[in-house]
Amino acid sequence: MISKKDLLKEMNISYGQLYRWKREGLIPDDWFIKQSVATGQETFFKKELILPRIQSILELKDKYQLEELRNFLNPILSERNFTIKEVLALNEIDPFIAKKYSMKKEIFTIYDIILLYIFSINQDKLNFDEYLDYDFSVLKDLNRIAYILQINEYYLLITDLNTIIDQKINVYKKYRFEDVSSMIAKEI
Amino acid sequence: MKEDVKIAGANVFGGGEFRNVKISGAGKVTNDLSAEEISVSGAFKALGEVTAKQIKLSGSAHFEKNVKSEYFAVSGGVKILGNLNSETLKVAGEINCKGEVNSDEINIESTDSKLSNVYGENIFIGTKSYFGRRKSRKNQVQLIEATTVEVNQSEVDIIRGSKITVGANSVIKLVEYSDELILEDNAVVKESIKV
Repeated sequence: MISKKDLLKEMNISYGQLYRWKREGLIPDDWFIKQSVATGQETFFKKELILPRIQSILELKDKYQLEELRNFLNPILSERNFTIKEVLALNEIDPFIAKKYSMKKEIFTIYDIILLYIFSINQDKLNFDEYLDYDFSVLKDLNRIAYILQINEYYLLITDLNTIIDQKINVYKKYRFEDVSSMIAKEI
Repeated sequence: MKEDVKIAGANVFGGGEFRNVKISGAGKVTNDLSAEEISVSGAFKALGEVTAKQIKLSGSAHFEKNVKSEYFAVSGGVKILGNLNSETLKVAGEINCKGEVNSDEINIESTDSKLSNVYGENIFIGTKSYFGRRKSRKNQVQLIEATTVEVNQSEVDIIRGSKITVGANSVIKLVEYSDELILEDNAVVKESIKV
């Protein structure tokens, strides 16, 4: 636990900033834990929650609008936004592929990350350049399944909610979005 | 498009989402209310949560639950049983809030207010008029935490902040400040700690 006083000192922020972020919903109300001390009541925080949260707010606050900022801090993975820095920090994602994709967008969703993951670990089969025109964030459903199909020497990635694949076509790999996202969740 | 509510005289309405709510006379809302602007001259009572961009009250108002607005101004008296969240809070008269007050800029010109926890960036509580200074009337506040705080005519348990000014007819049990503590006139600070 860390007291509010120590928190302000350690992060070099003011009471005004802290309470503004609380008001704006960037710090949840129930993170403020009131405890009795000799001088009356004081507020404490769980150190492992509040320190990284304030760090991210300080890093992001000048670059993004309040609504976007809220989404970066959203605990629900499917509604959350990610920065390129967060994407590059993920072990399985190839930084080269992520950087290429980030040329056209700077806010990423979990769907972007799922697809970047699939492309990263199947580089020998899939040519990412052929898919660069797509915006993966439109997929928006964790129930989807991505298939890598093998047609002779050629590999193709498809993803849809209801996919019927001709039995003559060989399904090389199959990824449930939900599985990939829960795997990514462990790293975040 | 959202509708307007206009009450002239006395009336009760059920709440909902509106554009402008204008009450002259007496109005009561029995459920949650959200609006662009709420302006009241007369009396107003809200039984549910109230959310609006602007709330301007002159007269007396009573909120049973939380109030949220960017701009909240009162001349007269207001009583809030829940929390008050706003960007700017201006009071001339009296405010009584049981929950916490959280606002960037707080200017409460009063000698009769009662508040529990008040949080913000810049907070003034007291009177700016020389003739408003009377020993017998004081605001009662439990806790104030803000970057800059100025109080007079007030009894406060704890004030925490960077720059704190305590003025006439005030008694503060504990002040914790990081930059500066200024005592004016007959201000009493029982204990002060530089942190």
